[in-house]
Amino acid sequence: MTDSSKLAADISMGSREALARKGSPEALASLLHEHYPFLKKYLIKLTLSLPHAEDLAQETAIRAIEGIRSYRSEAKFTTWLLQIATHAFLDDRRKQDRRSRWLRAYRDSERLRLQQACPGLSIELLEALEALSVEHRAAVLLKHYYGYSYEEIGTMSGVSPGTAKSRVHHGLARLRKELDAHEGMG
Amino acid sequence: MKEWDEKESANGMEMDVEARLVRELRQLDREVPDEGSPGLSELEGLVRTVQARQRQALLRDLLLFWGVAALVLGVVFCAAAFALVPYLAAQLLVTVGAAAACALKLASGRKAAAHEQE
Repeated sequence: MTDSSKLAADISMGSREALARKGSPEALASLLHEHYPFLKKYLIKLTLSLPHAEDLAQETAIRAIEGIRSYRSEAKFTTWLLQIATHAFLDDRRKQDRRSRWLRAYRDSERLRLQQACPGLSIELLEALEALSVEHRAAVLLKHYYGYSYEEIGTMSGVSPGTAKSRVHHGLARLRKELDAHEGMG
Repeated sequence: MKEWDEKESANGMEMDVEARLVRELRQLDREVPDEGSPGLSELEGLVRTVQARQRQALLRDLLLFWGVAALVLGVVFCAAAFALVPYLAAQLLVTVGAAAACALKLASGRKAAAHEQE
């Protein structure tokens, strides 16, 4: 049994968070280990790509380690982690958009691979999600799948609650339009 | 009545989209395996590495700060020791310049406030 697993078994979540904030590597590693699958699955839904989600999950873990002292216990650890992941995703996509078109082709192939890995997920929904802007996709997922409030979504994406609400509304409308278009073609 | 029906149907369609989104994404959560995640010892190693890198960067910044501060102080002491009159003249000039800048800023602030009141 490693130090971290002993720690996870011995002490509560709140104490682990307090220890992690004080700089304990065991407590922080144990918290990250516990939340890593949740974080990765959130990033898969955002990026629609397994390897890209993996890269961003690592980037999020590094940013979380660097910024653990700024974490406040008023927010849940998962909320804080999703906030960092959302920022990492938006930063990454802004950088990517400045690069060449082949990345778009790569994203298309990654989407197909994700659909093959998860047969329960329809290609129509994946394409409809891909058609949303990254900001709208994040807002729709955080609201309708994770159940966060507009205030929390605003904090996570660095915008006002009103903007978050508008992104959710427009995102959902676009999603419906895309799904309708797919059904029309079918 | 027709308007109300259209509204109802739009709401119904939105509910359908939400339900489909949630249903399929839940399926994704179930189908994606947890095994690919790094182990505890790997994460502990990552935490230690990042913390060590942060400490090194902090130390480098601190040394740089102290280095620049020592250089500035050295220049000032040299100037005071070897050329006292020009040094005092420069000090006086800097003080008068700073006071004038403060006074100008204060005056422009008052002017702006008076303009807003009008």
